Amino acid sequence: MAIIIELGVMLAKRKMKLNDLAAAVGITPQNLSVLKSGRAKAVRFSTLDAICRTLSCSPGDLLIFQSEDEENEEK
Amino acid sequence: MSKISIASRWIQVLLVVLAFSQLVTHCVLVINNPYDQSTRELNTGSDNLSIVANYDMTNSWETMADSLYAEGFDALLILGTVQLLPYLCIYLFLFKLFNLYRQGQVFTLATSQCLRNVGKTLLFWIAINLFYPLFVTLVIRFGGWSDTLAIHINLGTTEVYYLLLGLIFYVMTWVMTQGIEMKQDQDLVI
Repeated sequence: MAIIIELGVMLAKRKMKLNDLAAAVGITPQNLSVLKSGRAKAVRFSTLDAICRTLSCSPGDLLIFQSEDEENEEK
Repeated sequence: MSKISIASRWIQVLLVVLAFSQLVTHCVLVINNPYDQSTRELNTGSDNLSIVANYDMTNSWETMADSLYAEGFDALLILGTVQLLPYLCIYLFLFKLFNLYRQGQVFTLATSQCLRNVGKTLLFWIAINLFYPLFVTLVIRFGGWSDTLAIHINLGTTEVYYLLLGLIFYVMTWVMTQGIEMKQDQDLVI
C-alpha cells in the first residue's frame, strides 16, 4: 500500500513502548500492533487524535505517502 | 450459543437417521429383487407383522422407471442408486455445516463453503436429472439390450424447484461471504 505507517519510528523517537502508548490511547496493544505493522485497513480520527496527542506529533509524522516508484526502488 | 449447539446436535442426529434409513431402504430393495417394481415397494412379514419398504422416484424419473420396468430392467438399481447420491451429498454437507455451528463457527468461510456445496449439488443434480435418463437409454439401445426403450428428457417442476433452491443457496453464500469480508475489514479498523 502507498500509505506507510511510521508509528515505530515515532515510538523510538519518543522512547516509548507500544504497551504504554496503547494504555495512554485506550486501545489494545494487539490493535496498536496491527496499526504499527501496516496491516490495518483504516484508522479512526479519534484514534489518530489520541496517538498524536500522546506522542506530541501531527498525523503527517505518522502517515507517509510513498509512490509506487519509490516502493519499487526500495524492493 | 448453547441453543444453537443443542439444535445443531439434534439436526445432525436426524440427518444421520435420515441418510441411514434411506441407504438401508435402498439396499434392502436392491438386494431383495422380487419386490413389486411397478410400485417400487417391498411388502413382507407375517400375519402379525408387516414390513413395507418403498422408494419414491421423483416425478420426472417416474416415467423412465416405468419404461425400464416394462423392458425388464431393474429401475431401482439403475435410476434409484444415482438418485440417492445427491441426497447423501447434501446430507453430508449439512452434517458438516451443523457440526461447525455446534462448534460455535456461525459466520465463517467454512460455513459459507458448506452452503455453497449444497447449492452446487442441487445445480449439478439438475444436469444429472436431465441427462442421466438420456444416457441410460442410449447405453441400453446402443448396447443392444433393447430397441424399443423410448428416450426420456424431462424438464418439470422438480428441476425448476432444484434450480431455485440451488440458486438461493448460492446467493445466500455470496451474501454471507460479503458479510464475513466486511466483518474482517471492520476488525482491521483501528
